[in-house]
Amino acid sequence: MSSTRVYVQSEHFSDIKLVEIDGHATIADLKRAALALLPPGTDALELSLSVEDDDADDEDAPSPRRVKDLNQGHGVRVHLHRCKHVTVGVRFGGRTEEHRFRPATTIGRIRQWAGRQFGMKAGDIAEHVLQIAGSNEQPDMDTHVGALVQHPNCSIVFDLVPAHRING
Amino acid sequence: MAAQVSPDELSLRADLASARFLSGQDRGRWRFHRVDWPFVFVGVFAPDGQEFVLRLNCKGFPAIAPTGGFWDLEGDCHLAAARWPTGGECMRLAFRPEWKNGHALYLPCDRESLVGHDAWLSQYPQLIWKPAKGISHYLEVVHDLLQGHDHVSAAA
Repeated sequence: MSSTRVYVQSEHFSDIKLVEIDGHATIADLKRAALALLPPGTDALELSLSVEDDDADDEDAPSPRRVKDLNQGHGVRVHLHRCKHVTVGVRFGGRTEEHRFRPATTIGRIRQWAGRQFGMKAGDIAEHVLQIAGSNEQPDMDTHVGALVQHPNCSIVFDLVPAHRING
Repeated sequence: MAAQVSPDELSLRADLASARFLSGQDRGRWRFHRVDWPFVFVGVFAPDGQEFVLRLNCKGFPAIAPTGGFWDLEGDCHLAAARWPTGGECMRLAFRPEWKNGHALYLPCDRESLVGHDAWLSQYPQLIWKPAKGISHYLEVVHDLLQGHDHVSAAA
């Protein structure tokens, strides 16, 4: 059985990490493998595992899925976080929209949600990015929102701003 | 006696095995072809599946930004201007075959193009080379441009 690449993000990491695991491994096995990536001494008791851009709670699912069921052809991507959800506010044009997302939700998906909330067309959404309020930090589209907050602060606010484009 | 591998080549090879690079490859955004030091050859994909191969000179990696342009793997030469990706204004400005004779992309993360563009450091902080992100940063910028809604595939 070939191994599956699992990409892990967490409030405890500054960058994405990689672990390889058998495709037939259970979600519990996957969580153990992900926990092994934590810095020594990290309290892992309250950490929950969530799957990227998936609204299902994998640990509470009635019949645990296997790693191979999570592989949609582009690797398995999960997140370890103490917050079950992150409350996200997005400001644009004098309005603020708010929603609760799982920690494994990508910035790219939140941008799509925000753009739709503000009535943008797909092309216009692509020309905007999320910038952390009060900073000039624009997280990558693949960054999980959970990587940007630390428990017990389970909320974050972004501004939706025009993307940088070279104009000469 | 085996030739010694330089620290910058070792750094590049480690970066090509990093989670960030492999993640982008697994997402289908790019694929590794080969290292022919100091060059790395990586294909970046447009939405229609067309692959544009970059040849990046990585001397000094990662402290010094890479530089490079589109490459014809079959001909082992710079990609002919007629085959460069074309589209709207954003792409036309970044992908200019006449800029540095096609040896560099007109991007703040390209070390040759940054020369003489000091204002880019403050104008485009997100696009300036970031050693911690590695080669994936350059690839992400190119991939992002190729995804623009104004992209029109060049003649193959």
